[in-house]
Amino acid sequence: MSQQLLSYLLYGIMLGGCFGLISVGLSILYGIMGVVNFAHGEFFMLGAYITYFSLTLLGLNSVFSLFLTGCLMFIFGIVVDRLLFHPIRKISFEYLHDSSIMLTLGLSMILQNAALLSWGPQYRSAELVPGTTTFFSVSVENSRLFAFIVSVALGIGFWTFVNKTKVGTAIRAITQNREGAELMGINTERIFTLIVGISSALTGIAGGILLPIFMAYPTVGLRPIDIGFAVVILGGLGSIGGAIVGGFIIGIISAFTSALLGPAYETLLSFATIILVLLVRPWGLFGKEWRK
Amino acid sequence: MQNYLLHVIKTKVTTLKGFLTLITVLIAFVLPIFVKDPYIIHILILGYIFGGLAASYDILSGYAGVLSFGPSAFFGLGAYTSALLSIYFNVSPYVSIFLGALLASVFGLIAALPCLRLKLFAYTAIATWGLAEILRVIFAQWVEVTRGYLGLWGIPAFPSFNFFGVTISFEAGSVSYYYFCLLLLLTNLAAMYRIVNSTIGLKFIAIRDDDLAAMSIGINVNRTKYLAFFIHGLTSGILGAFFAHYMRILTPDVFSITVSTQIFAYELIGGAGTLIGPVLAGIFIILISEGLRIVGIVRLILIGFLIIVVIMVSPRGLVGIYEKLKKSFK
Repeated sequence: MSQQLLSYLLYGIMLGGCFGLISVGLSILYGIMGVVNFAHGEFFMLGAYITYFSLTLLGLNSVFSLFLTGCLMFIFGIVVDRLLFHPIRKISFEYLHDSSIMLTLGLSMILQNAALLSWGPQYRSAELVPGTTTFFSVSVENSRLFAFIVSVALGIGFWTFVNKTKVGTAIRAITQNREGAELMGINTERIFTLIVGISSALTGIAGGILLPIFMAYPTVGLRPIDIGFAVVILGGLGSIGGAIVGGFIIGIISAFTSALLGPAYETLLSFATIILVLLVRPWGLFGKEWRK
Repeated sequence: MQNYLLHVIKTKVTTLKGFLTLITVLIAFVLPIFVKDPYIIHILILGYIFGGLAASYDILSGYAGVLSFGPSAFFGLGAYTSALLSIYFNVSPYVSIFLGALLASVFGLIAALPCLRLKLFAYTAIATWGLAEILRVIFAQWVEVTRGYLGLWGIPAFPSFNFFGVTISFEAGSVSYYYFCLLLLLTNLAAMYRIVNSTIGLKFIAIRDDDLAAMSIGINVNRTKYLAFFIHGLTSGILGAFFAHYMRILTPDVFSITVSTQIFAYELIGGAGTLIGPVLAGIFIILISEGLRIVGIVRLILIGFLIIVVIMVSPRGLVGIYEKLKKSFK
């Protein structure tokens, strides 16, 4: 029994790492621009497709195909920012805040159906790392382990980038006070574009590493966006640490519920947790507390 | 009575807005005489249902400023309640649609609870989305009663009745559904119009714009939010219940996020906080997207582009474009 519980816990932790990676992009986009990105799931979907095609069509190994996914998704994010968010920012920054949901919903519709049109509704999946490893007599699929390691590495890398570099300081400055940062000579436009690129790249890589579990199909984005919002709200919007801790909480909860009650109850339990948390702490676990 | 009617005609109909409304309603009433195709009638009924849902959603998000992402919860709850009552307890559909609406509005009060303290729109969106998702899972897993994803079928249609010697029957594809739906939509809209133009509507707008200021002049913010959720639940629930007895089959997908995003999209494209915009946007987008069915999936891509273009051109949706046009003609 304890062995089983241990295996659920291990699965939960590994899944939680990936959930954290899914959510970081969502959280940072909100923290910096106030954009609630409903096309986040489609970024994930595109990442999954790019990884799949570079594994099968190009025959790259998994690390290189993830790298390629990251690069292409970074470019994609920049294009999205230039075409979509940039014109709205020019109208007014507050308007971007208000219209972001609608705007990204439109984008998500376009991307989802474009994917359906060009790649069809089939489910596609590929192994990134085959085989299993045994920990404390609990066997774990290597692909999950690989996903967890990549997530943690990217999480640490991103955290270092935000906290230790000059650009990261600029990012934090904008999060605290956009106008103040602008007055200090920070080129906010450039940072915004960069952040959309990073967010898209991280999410795309998340789609790639979860390819063996979530697979690639046009509407695959619906599930990660569920998870992403759950995690981000639980942890507090705009907080990177909150996204990672929230990821682990939601990951462990869903691993246990799907093992003990059945996978259908996964979303029920995670959403019930969030609603309970919001009743007690309306700003999430690590979000900035507001008092008007 | 006659004086009152004359007064209404003089003050309301002679304005441009009143005139356009009258013309639109008249067209809607005589439409089935010219359009015989049951398929188009079906699309129109769906358009009315979703237009009504978008207007009902507009009360909550456009007027009271509570950005919900779970309008499908009220729609689905009304539909399932009415369907289950009429299947298992033999309640007449004419009664059960009201019971469905009532349960949806009571659920609205529960849904309001986590939203009272939430200030940022993303948080209320997630809380309400979560509730809709929880309902979806419950109705999908409650297989003995709802048959889960196999779909609840055999929902009784509205029984036929005699109206001054004319038998009105509700067979599949009959035009009486059209008039029933139209009347339901118009009653709903009239009620909502009265509400938003009363002091309650002013309270909604006040808490939307600045809840602290509203509180300081003695508006009970929590009670107003409860009220907004209640009205939203009632009006969405009754349309959902009608939908159940019209389609006569339900799956838990009525709770899904795609239904919510549809309603949400109609509301924003039409113009939030205008009530009439969302209805028209709902009806027209459903009509257009059916008309574009020949081009297949591309139509959804086009609608996506339409949403983005409307957002970029006019912050207040189609109503905003209308206002701009009116101004430029003056």
